[in-house]
Amino acid sequence: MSGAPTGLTQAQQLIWAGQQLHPDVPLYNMVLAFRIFGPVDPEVFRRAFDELVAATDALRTVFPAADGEPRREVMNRVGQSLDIIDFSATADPDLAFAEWADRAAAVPFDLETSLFRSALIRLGPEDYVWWLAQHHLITDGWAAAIVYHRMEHLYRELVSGNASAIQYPSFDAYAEHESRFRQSDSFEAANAHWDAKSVATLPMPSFYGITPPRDGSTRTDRITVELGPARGQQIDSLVAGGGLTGGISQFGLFATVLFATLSRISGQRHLAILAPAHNRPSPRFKATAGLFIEVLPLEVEVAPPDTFRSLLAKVAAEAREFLVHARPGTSTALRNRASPVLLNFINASFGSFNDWPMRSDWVHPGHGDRDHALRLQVHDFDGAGSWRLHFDVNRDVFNEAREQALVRHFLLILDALLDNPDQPIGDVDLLSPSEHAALTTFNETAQPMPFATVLDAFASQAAATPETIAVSAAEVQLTYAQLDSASERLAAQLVDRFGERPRIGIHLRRSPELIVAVWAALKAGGSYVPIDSQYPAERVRFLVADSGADGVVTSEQLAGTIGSYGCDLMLLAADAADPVPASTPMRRSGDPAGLAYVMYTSGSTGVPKGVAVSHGNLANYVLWAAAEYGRGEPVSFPLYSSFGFDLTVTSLMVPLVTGGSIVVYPEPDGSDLSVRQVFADDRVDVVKLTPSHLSLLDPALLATSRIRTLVIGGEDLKTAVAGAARAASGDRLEIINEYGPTEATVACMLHRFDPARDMLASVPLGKPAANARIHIRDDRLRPVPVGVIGEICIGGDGVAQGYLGRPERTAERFVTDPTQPSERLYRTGDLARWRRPGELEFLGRSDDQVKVRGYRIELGEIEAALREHQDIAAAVVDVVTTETARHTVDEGAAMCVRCGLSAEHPDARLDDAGVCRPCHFYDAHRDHAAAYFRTVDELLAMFPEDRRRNDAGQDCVMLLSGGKDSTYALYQLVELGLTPLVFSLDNGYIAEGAKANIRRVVADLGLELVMGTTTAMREIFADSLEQFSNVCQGCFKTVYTLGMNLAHERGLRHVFTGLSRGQIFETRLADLFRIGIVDRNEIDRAIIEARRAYHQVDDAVRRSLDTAIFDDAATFDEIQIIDYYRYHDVGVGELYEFLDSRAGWVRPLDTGRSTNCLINDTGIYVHRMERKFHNYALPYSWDVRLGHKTKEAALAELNDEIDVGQVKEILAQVGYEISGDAAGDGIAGLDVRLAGYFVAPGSELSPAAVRKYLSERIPDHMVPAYLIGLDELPLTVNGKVDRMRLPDPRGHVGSDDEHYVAPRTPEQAALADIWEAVLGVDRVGIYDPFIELGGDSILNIQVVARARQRGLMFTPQQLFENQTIAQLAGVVAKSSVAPQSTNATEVAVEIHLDEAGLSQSELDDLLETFGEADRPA
Amino acid sequence: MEAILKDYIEAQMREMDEHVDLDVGDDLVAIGFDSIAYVRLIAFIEDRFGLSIPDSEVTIEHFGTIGNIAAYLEGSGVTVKGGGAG
Repeated sequence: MSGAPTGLTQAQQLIWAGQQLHPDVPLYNMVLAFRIFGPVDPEVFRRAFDELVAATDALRTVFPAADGEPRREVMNRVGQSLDIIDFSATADPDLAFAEWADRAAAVPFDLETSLFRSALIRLGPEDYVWWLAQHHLITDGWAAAIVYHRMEHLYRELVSGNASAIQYPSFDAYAEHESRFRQSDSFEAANAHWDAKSVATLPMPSFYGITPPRDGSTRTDRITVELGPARGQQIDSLVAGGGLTGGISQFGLFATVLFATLSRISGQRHLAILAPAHNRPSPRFKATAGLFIEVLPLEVEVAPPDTFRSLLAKVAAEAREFLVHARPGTSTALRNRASPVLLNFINASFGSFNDWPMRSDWVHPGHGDRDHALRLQVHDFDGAGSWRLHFDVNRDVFNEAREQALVRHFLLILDALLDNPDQPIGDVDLLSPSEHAALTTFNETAQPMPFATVLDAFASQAAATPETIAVSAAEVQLTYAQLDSASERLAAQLVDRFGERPRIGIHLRRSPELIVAVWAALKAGGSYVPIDSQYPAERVRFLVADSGADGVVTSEQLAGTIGSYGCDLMLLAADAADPVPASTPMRRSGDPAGLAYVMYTSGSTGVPKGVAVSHGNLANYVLWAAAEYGRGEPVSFPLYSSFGFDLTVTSLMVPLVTGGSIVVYPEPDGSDLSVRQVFADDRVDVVKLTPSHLSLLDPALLATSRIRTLVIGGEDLKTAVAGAARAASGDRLEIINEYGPTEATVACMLHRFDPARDMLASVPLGKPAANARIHIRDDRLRPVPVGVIGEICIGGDGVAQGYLGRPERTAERFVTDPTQPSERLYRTGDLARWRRPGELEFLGRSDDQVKVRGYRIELGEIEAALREHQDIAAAVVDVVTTETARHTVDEGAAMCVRCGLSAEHPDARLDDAGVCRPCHFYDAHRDHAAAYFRTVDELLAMFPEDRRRNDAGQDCVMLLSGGKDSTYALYQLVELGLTPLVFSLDNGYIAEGAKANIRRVVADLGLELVMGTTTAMREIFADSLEQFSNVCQGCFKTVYTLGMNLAHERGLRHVFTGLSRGQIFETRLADLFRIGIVDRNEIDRAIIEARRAYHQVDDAVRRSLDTAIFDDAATFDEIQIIDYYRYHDVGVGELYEFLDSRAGWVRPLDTGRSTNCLINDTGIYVHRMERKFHNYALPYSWDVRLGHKTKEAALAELNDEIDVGQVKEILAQVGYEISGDAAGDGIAGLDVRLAGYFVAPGSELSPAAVRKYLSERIPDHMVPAYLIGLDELPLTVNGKVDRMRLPDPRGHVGSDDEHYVAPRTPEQAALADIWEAVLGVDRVGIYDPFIELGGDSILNIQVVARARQRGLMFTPQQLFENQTIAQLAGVVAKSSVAPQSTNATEVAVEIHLDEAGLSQSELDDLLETFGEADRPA
Repeated sequence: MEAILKDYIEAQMREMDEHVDLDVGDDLVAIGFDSIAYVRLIAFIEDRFGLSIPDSEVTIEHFGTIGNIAAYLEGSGVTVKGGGAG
């Protein structure tokens, strides 16, 4: 027997659905063990329990389901009672019970039959446990206390003999209340509040570097911590004084500690946590058992300067918002997983049992909601004044080390707060003493250097090996003695010429004289500024000026390309055996604190900054590197890389302090691939290069060369790249990863690659260089705990002086270590974390961290995933940002009530009734217009059967823009039997799609096409923008001019336009009507007169094009311009319908509003900016007046989203600047997308295959919107990937994420149908992710149920793991056994082909055979 | 002022399915006002009358009854224009 079926509350729906995802997992088992220390009477206890069940409807509730829809039913009677178990006779009753309890807690419930189990366990004569397991569907923390109190009361009454029938409030009342409340305005308001919260776009917090997976397991560990009475008192005293709202302050305190902990262990500032709201607002509901809680998010920013007290205040304010809006029925599946962290603060206690002492224990079932990586349960069930904390942590995210770290860090932060609420949160030291010790050891790098400067080291070497070759070039060799002497003589000349301690710009090709010049600048007691010989002149002049060089040493040839350097020059003869004329030598020993060189780096701001490196910095690096790479032997390096790049300092200096030589490779004329020559020549021992260089090398050369060591610097070295090079060399090559920014003098860390041990995506950075100290710090420069991402900060002898002449930038990046004020740190902007104390993992540039749709994404992570593909040799991921301007017609804005013309339009002048002047005007002239417009028959009459055609058999010229109006008109002319010569203008901005349309349409109709153009187009656009703030006027006039000339040349007497009736009215008739010309013959004459005058106006068109024919007044009599739509009335809908039926014309997707032209948006933008109204407003209002569009459609068409970047680019091209203060307006936002570029040599890897590959490895939000295959990645002169030269992916094939992709198979179509119905959306594409469409666990189950009815079998779990129809269909095909699935073979074939690695064209051919030609890329 | 408070509190009670007719002297805690209800009430008052009430002021003396609240608000300089309830 059971009660009337009723619906589930919102909270129950969520729990029920969550359970369906894991039917056999006890993740919602809520199990309590009440240990009662007294002589319990088991029989009385059982009777009390039976009465408890009879009086508590929650316990009798079950949830039968049909077709994925559960019902809530309350059974009148339950057969089930209390088990009585006796462990008192076992050897260890406690242990026996514990083992039993662990097992019993994990037994799942059958939601259709019973949601509770209970037992009384005897452990001793006065030692019993009342064990009660309930499913969360019928209980929560508060309800557990209610049930305990009822049981205690019932037992007490039974033993005292006072038993009386008790009526407890029913859960039904709450369910009814919730369903009523959901209809109320208060509910709507609360819902709106939660919808508006931005938590959905907050990045997932990372737990010691681990981000929770979306589809992890439910397995959960519980770590329990007793805070103890001392902390309890401290908490009480801190939150005392809260008054009537005081209970919340305890919650606020724990939430504050949790937020602070999350912030410190994730490195993130913007964080959300979830909390269950108690949701028992009235005394009656406070006495009702059942599930009441609503789980909702709290969001707080933990800013670097926050103290505990300031964060407490933020949390209190947020908690108040939370409580105000946490109303019945407001939690949803999405809100339930807005954060992977939940704080469950339970303000309930149990108390003694029948006056016997009782101690409760909350038994953990070993599982929890997989969306929650951490559930922190806080309670004091026993009222002991000591809070008990359970850290329930998901085992996918937390291993034992991380669990322990979490608890330790939480307690450290809690204690810090209790100790001093006014201290900054970031000041709490989270490192343990052993971690501190390990990091200190890591940085014990002190090492005395044998020389104070490289000058001393070189002098010593030159004295030791004067006749050894120091520099070797094609035709010149210099011994140490020669180099020493030449540079000393040049030093003297430099001082002579440029003064003491000169700063010398060196602008030379790679050559012996370059090396001489470098040493000469140093020997002169000065410094040098390296300038790459291939830099553009402007950049060279910038470097000279910015560095404050006293003079430049250059060659005659290079000086010729620069013109003026802006300072004095000294020319060195190229390729001379001795480039320096005889003079007195000079040798100054350098000052370790003095400047050695200024090396420019391209900053993220785009302005290069000169890094000032001292002799001390330089000596420390060079002598350390010489020891590492030479190991006491002479070592030769090639000088082949850019002189302007600090990687080259190694090759320029290190050989000369070891007795080795520099082999010079001058810059070739074309692209600099000298690195290949270095390996082909094979004359050196060690080559320093970038990872990108490495991928340019021929593996065959690596196997046989003399080169023994590769030093890789400049970019992150991927393990795969290093491993491939090493393998190619037959494991012979030593590969050294050298890390360091220019600001820390070439390098400060080193690691010798070990293929057997280095397993991470990137080769480790290794250990600090001599006298270098490496730290990982947070935003406030405090050490981060193991696993937490921070910034690499460098201390020690390599830290440069700063940025030359940029004190502010220097102060930003070169800072004092707050933990040790004697240490100066350089902040690299590079991210890393400690894998273990002393083992650093490099994570890329912080600049490479981007936010896309709210997710914080590491580009390097995506790049690594791409490179792991077996066919991909190189990959780079970039961000494509589109600045968009939205022009929206404000619904409330004043506009004409009839046509929608904005009141801001100067012609509008609305009357009191809200009707515009043009509408009145139209009313007045409607009849005149009707008389002017003619019929098709009249048009035909102009072309009699016996008409004269030209030699090519043509009748007329048709001006075809490629847009809808002129295309339709062209088709109609042909249907009327005419043979037009088609003229189109390529204005330089006609969309490819539109051009293709023009060609297809003309070919379709078998006509001749003349595609005209003019070199003056940009000038014409600029002039048009200047005069009319739009681009169309200039374009129209060009079309008329060229079209008339064409007609004249070809002997044709008619030129057709595709002007719409609205345009005819606006441009031809309105002015004439206004001055009283209404007769159509008069109109025709007046139009011709106007046209003559129009073509006489002096403007860019008249200046640039041949307009001689317009000087002849007879031209317009001989050649007639005919507006086709004067003779044919057609609505826009009918027009599109016709065109869509023609294969020749495809509506382009890339042109914004216009159907043909890319520059149109520019005109719209400029017009909006300069004239403040839309230049289509008036024409569209005419379309409304003439009945071709509804007002609503016209207004909707005026809403633009304009790509401002493109507009600015076009404006720069045509040379036009938006006037006045209008320029900055109208930018609404940035659209950020990812673009992945990959090089897959020798394979036809399609973007679609790469997309599929990536989607199986990285989260969907990290899969680039654009995927583009390239033959090679563009490199900078420094050998790094040149992001500026990556192709713009917009419009590239593969950008399917924005475009709807229709289902391709019957399965996909069926799934799309089901999704559309369940999700309530109009159209589902096969790449649209379920969650992004609003799918949640409840809807998931409905989809599964409906699919099952149609013979498509998959589990809710599979749907969550396969978020798109494309993916899901694959699973369905594999698991489906349903006979309805007739196309299973087809699906299987497709999957097979995808995996077979066929080329796109092969795939297309095959798929066409299967009728699937429209395969998206 | 008292009318505004009475309307709001009665509406709150109705939303939690408790139908009451309050007197200015009725003990709000006794009729079931808990800390969460007080948080909502304070949010309402701050919103409605444009002042900020520190938690430490939310005591029985100031907020125990509608009469107390009205007196507290008047003491804080809050006036209701037009005297109407709404």
